[in-house]
Amino acid sequence: MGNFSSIDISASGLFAQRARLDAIANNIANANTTRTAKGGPYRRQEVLLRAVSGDAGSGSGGVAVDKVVESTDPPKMVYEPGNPDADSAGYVAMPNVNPVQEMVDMITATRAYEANIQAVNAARTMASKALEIGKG
Amino acid sequence: MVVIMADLFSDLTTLALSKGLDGAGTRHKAIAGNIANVETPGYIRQDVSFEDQLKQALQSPDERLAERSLQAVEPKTQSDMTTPVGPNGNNVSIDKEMAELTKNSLQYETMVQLMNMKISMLQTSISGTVK
Repeated sequence: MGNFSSIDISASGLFAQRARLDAIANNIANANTTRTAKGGPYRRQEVLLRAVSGDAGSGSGGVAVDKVVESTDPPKMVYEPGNPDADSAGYVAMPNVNPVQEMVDMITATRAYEANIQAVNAARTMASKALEIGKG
Repeated sequence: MVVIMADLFSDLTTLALSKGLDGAGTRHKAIAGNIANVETPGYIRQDVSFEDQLKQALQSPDERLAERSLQAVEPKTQSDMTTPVGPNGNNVSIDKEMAELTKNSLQYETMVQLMNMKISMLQTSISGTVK
């Protein structure tokens, strides 16, 4: 029980960090996308995480993806009169994706993912140690 | 005979160790939760305490009383505000959690080892031969 539920908690962390990585990959892939189904340039996606409260008295129940929202930052206006998507003044609305920020987010998400893996491994070691009780 | 059997397997050492293992298991759950929420805005780290209860129970001079207070030891999970809260309201420090994780696993393994020693002592006294 105790050890296995902590693996579930770590799994929720792994899932959350993977969702962040998915959003980051999407943002980088669409860094230059000017056309979307909704019209206008692509908008940066952001994953909002929420702490899940566990059963009474046992503290945390892990983490969950609350929702994925689009960033409200204004699009970058680039002067490119020859571009078919340019407005009357010659400016093209480019996605509000900042590649540097995406790279930094990618590193933190990867590291957080690894930390959750470490926690799973520790739980596994503890559980298999507990199985050795009485084997002498 | 029943009394002897009960005393053989539920002495203070075994009871204290099982309570300790229980506490370390609960603490691992709290640490796993902290690591999972390392990026969650507004999350406050959870900490588990049981050692002080264990120590207090074992300090009792009367063995029966000590056993009763040991039975009542329950790991307590509470919010820990001692680490600084960041701009997003989260106070999980990943370095601290990883250190706590290692410490807790070692503590758990130590208690498993002690439990094994206790059991092999019992086996020695039952069989009369040293394995």
